[in-house]
Amino acid sequence: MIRSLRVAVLFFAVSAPMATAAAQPVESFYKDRRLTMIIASAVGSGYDAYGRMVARHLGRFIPGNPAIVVQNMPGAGGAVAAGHLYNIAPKDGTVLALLQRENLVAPLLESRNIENRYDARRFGWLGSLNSETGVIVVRSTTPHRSFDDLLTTELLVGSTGPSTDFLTIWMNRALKTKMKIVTGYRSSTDVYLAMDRGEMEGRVSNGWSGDKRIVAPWVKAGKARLLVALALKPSRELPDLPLITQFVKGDTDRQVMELILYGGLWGRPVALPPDVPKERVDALRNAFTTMIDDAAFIAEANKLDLDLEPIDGAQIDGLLSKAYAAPQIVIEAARAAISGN
Amino acid sequence: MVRPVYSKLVIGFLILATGDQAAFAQEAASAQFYRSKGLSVSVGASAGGGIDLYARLVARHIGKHLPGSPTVVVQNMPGAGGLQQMNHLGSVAPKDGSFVGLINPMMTVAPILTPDFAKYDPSRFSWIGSVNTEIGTCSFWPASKLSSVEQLKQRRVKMGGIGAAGGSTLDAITLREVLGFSFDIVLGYPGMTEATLAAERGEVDGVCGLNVSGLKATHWDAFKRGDVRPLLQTSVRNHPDLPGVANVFDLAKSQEQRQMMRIVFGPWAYGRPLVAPPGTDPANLAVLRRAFQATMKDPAFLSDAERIKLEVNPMPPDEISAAIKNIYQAPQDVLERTRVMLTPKK
Repeated sequence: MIRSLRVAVLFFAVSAPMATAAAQPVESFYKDRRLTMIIASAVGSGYDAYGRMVARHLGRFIPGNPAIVVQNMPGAGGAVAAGHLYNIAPKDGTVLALLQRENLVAPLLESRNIENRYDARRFGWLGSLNSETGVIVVRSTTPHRSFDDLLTTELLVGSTGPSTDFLTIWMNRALKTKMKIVTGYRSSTDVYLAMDRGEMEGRVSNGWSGDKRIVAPWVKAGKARLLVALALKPSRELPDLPLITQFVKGDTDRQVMELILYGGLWGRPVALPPDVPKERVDALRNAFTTMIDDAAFIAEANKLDLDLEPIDGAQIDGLLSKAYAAPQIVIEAARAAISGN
Repeated sequence: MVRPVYSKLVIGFLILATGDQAAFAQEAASAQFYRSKGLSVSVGASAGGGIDLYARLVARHIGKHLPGSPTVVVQNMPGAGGLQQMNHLGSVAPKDGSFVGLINPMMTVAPILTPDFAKYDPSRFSWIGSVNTEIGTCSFWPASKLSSVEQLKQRRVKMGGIGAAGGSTLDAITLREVLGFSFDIVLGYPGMTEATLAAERGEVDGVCGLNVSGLKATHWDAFKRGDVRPLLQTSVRNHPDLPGVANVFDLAKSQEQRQMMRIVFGPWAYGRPLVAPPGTDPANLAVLRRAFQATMKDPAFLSDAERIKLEVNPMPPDEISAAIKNIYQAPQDVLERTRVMLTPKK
């Protein structure tokens, strides 16, 4: 009798908090908590600047106003952080991550890469802070004046590593451009220093926002030229630059191009792990969209020269659905186009 | 747990006793700040090199001299010879006192030499102090058969250059163009180790940009035997361990020659500088400066430095600012001519 009573009491003691947790109001869950914002990139990178800015502001718009602490988790072009978010991070809404834009379709395009241990569609997407436009930039001393010149004349391009070469490799294979990749540069600044010294001819950048600080003045001074924008829609900052889309013919090629360039649409994507309780996902999505419109947030972004062109979580879900629903023949063609060998 | 509270009480009592309640409140606020945020020290180079060793040495000891005794973390941010780090410090790095950097001092003149890549004003940064003065040398090996400055002036000499635009290369170009030495520079040695090996083998005669602290760390025995001969000191001050070695500033024949050399050699006077972003919170900047001063006198820090053979000759922040101002005081056309002199011809 006593024993069963004790068991009953124990049962209530154990189950009651759990029952409360499932229904726990969002505000009381987040009050006095510290959230962790993982940044899938090294300190000092463009992602790092965006991620830390979000960490400074997002808490204000989450019920309960939790503090947010940043943790850098670079490695494998963001795949380490994405895998951690998917497999290891708690799914209670206390951890979120700013991933690298290529991570969202990498599992689709790099099917043999064992680093990609996650299904990007299952993350709880909060939104993306900007869209990114890639560019091909050349020194004005090269004979290349337009995209078509890349089909006839070789161009030496400096590269910071294989994870960002996929655009170049795709263009060489699918569009028959003649770009020769020279690896070994530690950062994009090192590539531009080499260009400045006359040792390198050009660069394929997948993010104008990171390069414009050096390149925009060069273009203005006539020291460099931009040949084409690598994006699915015109850039607000480079409206007159021809889009790569006009050089891609044929249905399959166009679909492959979309797969590869989707990343530009979600330039700085922020996600929760899969299976976070719905009311917390909703609260954080709300917080994200409110933050993006907040005057103080916008003012800081302006001050730090961080461009904002946001899309929300639902839009990312929609785009991911489309990407992952591409016909197998398109996916295979995309994989082949960026496989580098 | 009791001790920090006790010492805070003692400090508080003393400050209250002298009537300065604001200072007590500030100390407590800083302690709370640093305890919760910690201190990050960025380094514009990979782990293991000279600048990284200095950063980690400071990081090991400065924490206990800061209120709140925070954890201090080093963050390597290599890229473009220190430009990635310096640009980061000048733009998006936190300005609340929780973030500082140990920089390559040549970043203070990058706005003169590579203006496209260094769009910041070094005089607006929040200088904390320099751990050491680095005195550069042009040193020569026995195969060169060079043992005096007079011989150096009379011959064509082969100098090893590190990278395409590293310190050794810039130093040798400067001495060739400004003082007229006949230096042929062999470019492309990956590092000082490779360049000095080449000098040992007689492939080149010597190398510039070899700091005395580097000499001590790697070639001191050879130096004492006379096998490695510094024939020029490239610094505004003479090193006490190089008596009789000619100073390039004494060889200058005009103000302009001195001004040009000051751009290239001057920054090494504040050779290992710790700096916070421009506009750093003034109260915490003062706290950081006091902590740096205390660290430089800390016996544990000094013996740690000696153990790993890192020289310590600190310079206070206002001297750093004055030295930078002195460099930038040269006329604009002198600055521009120095930039052109050091830009490879395309």
